[in-house]
Amino acid sequence: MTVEEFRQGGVVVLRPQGRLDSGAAPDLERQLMSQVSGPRPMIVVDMAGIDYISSSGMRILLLAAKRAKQAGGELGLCAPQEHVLDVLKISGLVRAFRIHAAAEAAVSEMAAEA
Amino acid sequence: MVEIRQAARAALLIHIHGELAAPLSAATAASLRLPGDAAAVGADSLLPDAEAAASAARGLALVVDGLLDADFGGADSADMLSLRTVLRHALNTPLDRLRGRIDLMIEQDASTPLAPSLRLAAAACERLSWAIDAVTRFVTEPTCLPALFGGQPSARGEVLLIDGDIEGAGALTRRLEGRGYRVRAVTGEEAALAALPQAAWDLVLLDLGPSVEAGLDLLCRLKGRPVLRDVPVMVMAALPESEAAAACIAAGAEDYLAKPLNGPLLYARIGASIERKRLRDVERAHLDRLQWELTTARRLQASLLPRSFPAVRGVDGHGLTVPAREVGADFFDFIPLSDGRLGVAVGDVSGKGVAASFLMGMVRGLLRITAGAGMAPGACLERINTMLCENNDQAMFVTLVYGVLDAPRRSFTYANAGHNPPLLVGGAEPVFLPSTEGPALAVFPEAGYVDATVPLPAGAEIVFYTDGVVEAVDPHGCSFGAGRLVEAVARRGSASVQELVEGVVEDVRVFAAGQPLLDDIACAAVRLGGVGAASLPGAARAPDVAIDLRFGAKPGEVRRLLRIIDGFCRGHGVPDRVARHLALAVDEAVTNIIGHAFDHDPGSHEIRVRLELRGRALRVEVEDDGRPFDPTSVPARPSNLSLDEMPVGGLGVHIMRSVLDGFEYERDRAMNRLILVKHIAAAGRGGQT
Repeated sequence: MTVEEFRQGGVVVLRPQGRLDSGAAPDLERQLMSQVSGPRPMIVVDMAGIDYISSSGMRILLLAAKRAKQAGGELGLCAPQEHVLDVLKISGLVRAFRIHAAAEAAVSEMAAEA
Repeated sequence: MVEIRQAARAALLIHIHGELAAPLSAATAASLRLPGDAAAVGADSLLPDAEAAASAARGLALVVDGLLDADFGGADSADMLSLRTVLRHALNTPLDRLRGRIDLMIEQDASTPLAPSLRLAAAACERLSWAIDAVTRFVTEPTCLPALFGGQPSARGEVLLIDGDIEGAGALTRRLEGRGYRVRAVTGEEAALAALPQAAWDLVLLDLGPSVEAGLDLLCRLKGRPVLRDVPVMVMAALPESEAAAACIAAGAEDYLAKPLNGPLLYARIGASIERKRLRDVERAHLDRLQWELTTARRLQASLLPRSFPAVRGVDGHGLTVPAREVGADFFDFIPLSDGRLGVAVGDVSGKGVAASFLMGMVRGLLRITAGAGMAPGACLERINTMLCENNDQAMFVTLVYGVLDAPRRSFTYANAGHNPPLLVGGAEPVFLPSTEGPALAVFPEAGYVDATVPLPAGAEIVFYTDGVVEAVDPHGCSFGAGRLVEAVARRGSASVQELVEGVVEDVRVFAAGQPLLDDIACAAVRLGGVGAASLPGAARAPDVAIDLRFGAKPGEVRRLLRIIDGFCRGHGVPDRVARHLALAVDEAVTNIIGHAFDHDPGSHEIRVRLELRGRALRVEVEDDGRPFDPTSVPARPSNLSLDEMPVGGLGVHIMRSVLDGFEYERDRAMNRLILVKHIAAAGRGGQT
């Protein structure tokens, strides 16, 4: 899995593409964990390019969100596709993240809090 | 032997020397006169060329005399074919030089007083050139001697001369025979028609005689004869060329010569005509040979298809192919197996013609070997694929669906290598058998092929076909499509399988409305005995459909499994959201097994997945032989936890519970069996969110 990554106003945006299943999760895990290791990490995972997510992908997001919070930061999601959001809702995982409509909105909101 | 060869060679050269003597002396004499004539008429500017021509003529005479030398040609002319090359070169080189000089002088000034002498010399050279050509043509191994001395049929050609004037015919006959032709002169239509079948004529020379109209009528009748279809007819008449030539050519003549006949011109035209005829003969022989080879290939290909349906208890079947070209590459096969089972295959080789047909024969042979050895369909396809990939230099590929019809157990187990899905007719509506997501053969050496099994009700039919059926186009460019195939099959519910198969092909032909087929067509069908579902009144409810899949416990297999489930759901009208939730639950179950159930090498273990549609419920059984693990024993957790309260572990089981309507576990004979149920009507617990 290729994960695009850029920084904007102190917020790191990650853009994974494709299926976030057990095959692809380790790639995202590597990138996310290196980001949450710093102080007060503010991270947005742009979910627009993700068309499938299983528990393997959710576990990484959940783990990174917990670490970010412990370090005084936050991990937010933005723009999930409808059926991905459906699964996050059914599993209750939706409560673990702030979910923004778009990357720009997420960045400006989180940058303001940083 | 060596002496014989040398004697033959010497005899041949003496013969050639004699043959060339007269035309050579004519050409030399005419050329040697040129300088004197030029001086006499005061054409001083042509003198140097005239001298050069005379010199070339003397050189030519020396070469011909040299033919009698014992060592003519030396080592370069060791065999007859080399001798011919040497002869032609030795004679034609000085002759070409001589003719070049003469042509140069004619070009410089055609109206010069020297012109008559030049034309005489040119004609003499032309005759000599023909003589050289004719005499060296005999020099072939090993038949040149009988041809020269044994009075065998003339190598220059068999000519039938039809002439009303016996005297004129006699003169022309002698002239042509002097040139090496065998001539038969006949007078009158009756004699002409009688002579036609008596030899393999190379040319018919027809003198129109005094009545041009009668002559043209005869020409038409002659060309009407099949035996003359490929023999050129050359017409001669005492008419200006422009008037008569067109009429003769229109009536089928190859050429027209105005009388009185000009010798060199006559020989040149006759020679050219016979040469063209022989080229056409060679071409036709070549085409005949190609046609014969194609016919043989077609016969061989047809012999690879089953001639009749094998005797299998409780099963009837029929197959048919229609090649789009001379040789097709679509095929079907019925392979009787042990225990009352029957192998059924339909395939399509990419490309067309003999190469594709050859590959088809190979695939059929490999399938018969692997299937006959009792291998499961997926294993057969894997083995065939490996072997084809090793030897595929032509970048061809094969799509093939192979399945085993188990009549006693009423099931059909199949694997599919990129082929169109077979159509199952078992209930009210025909359904396409779910895809098992295998690629075409001969492309990916590592490709895997999974087996799927469907249960069959009594009277069930499975219809196999190639893309030539669904992709046939009508005159407007519309394709036949899967919908028309379903209609064509459904309409013939009570017909015999043979009528069914023939009917489908007939429907495709009618649809194409006489347009040539773009692709081969193959169609085959098998039917289980018992009461057919189509004849059951009120068979309204769709029957249960089920497929069984087996695959190695490898991470790479999960995505394919999910695609198969997706295809299965789409094929049975399952709503997208339901299908997605089911696929997610299966992903969680199988990923967990692959990751945790085995101590070593999970890929060596097999996972079995059974997918069923029962009424309005989808039911999936997942079985593995790993260590016992009951996911239903993992305590359920509330769905309203905050980030801090949410545990990271156990997510997979939590998701399965979240998206499913039923979730059970059994431990049975050292196997874990997980049963996942998803209802179609109610969208499950997740539906409330």
